[in-house]
Amino acid sequence: MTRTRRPSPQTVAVLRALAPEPSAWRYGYELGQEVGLKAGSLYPILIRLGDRGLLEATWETDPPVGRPARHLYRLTGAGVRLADELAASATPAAPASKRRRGELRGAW
Amino acid sequence: MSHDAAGWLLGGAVRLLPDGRREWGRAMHAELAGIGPVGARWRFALGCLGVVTRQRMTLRAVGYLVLAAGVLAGVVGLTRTIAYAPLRGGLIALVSILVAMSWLGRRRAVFGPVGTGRASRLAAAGAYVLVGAMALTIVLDMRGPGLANPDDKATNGVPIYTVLLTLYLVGFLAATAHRCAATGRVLATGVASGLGATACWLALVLAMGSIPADLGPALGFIGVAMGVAGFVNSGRRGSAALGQLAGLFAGALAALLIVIVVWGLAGYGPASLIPDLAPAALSPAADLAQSRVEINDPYVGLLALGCLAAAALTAVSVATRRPASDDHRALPAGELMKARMRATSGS
Repeated sequence: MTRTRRPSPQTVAVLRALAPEPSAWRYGYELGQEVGLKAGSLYPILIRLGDRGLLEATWETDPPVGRPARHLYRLTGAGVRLADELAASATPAAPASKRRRGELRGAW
Repeated sequence: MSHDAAGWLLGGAVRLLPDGRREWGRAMHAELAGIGPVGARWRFALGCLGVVTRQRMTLRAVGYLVLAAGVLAGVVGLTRTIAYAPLRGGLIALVSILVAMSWLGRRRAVFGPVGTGRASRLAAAGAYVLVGAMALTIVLDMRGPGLANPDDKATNGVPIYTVLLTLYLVGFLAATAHRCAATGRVLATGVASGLGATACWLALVLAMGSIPADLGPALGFIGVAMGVAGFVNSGRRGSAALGQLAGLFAGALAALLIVIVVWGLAGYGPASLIPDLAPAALSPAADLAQSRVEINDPYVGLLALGCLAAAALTAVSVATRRPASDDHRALPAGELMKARMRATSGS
């Protein structure tokens, strides 16, 4: 049986950063600075979101002269839905000590 | 692009990533080019380096490179005692070609990468072990100081073995590739039938008390194994293509295994198992030594027949493989992401 695991706070932060403008393409360094994540934490999250079909990626089509094209990211429809669900469920944040046994901790 | 040490370091690390993750590596490298301050560049590059080195696929790729380099260094070292340069070069080429085939077997080529199922992985690993054992035996056999006719072995023996072993390896890799139609059941029955035929042949040898000097019993058992594997996977329980794949896999495997057993018994088995094939020898010891060599000859023919089965296995595997658009069913997550990125790059 597949158990739905709640994303880690860092993943939630990335989803929240991408969710307000789901059609806008963002690049990694900017995204990392916005959510306060270094590359070593940010890229594994982006990779996992991509693997799970929550994030789509493309290459910048018209980069300025002297700089290579950046890799750009935005949420897929499934990613937007997950971000919405997380936002809806985040309001009544239960203290960690009251978390029921078996309830999911941040894992991805 | 990134022409400083941080850029070079990250660029080099990215090359270690396998296909499925290299797009992400290039993304990190391109991002680095847009970062100005030296300190920020290094922090970013080192963070990305950590991501690259933590990827399981990276560790696997590095492990494969080390293993391939070790195999090539090993054959160069093992053949250093061979004075006849063409023979030494031929043996190094034999092993190099097999290593190259195994490299292609990891790529998205005709016979790669290996399927994600346990049966595919085990069967492919077994194929590497068997073909590697054959190659090692050939190298060890030909590096002896008293080797007769090194010129003939360099111009005929080694090239023939190179072709045969390559075709076996390609056949097994094609059958275990992720796009091959062979299911886990097909591979499992193919392997079981091949092992069964070998076990039956070995039991017959032990019962008869000597290795048969003709191929009749071996061909009989192999034929039965191919028939059983083909029958189990055809009809209502499979299809004609699956039956062919299973039968050919069983045939190629059984032929290869029986030849390996013959080589082992001929070289190291008890004298009682070796039929007297050199009646004109001067002494019993010379007679036995000559017979140990002679008994291998008919089984080279079996190796060639099994090779035909392996070539047919490659052909059927390629002809019946799933279209590339179905790759998502069997691709690892990284490959899947790459496919998605390709799909979105036009948007």
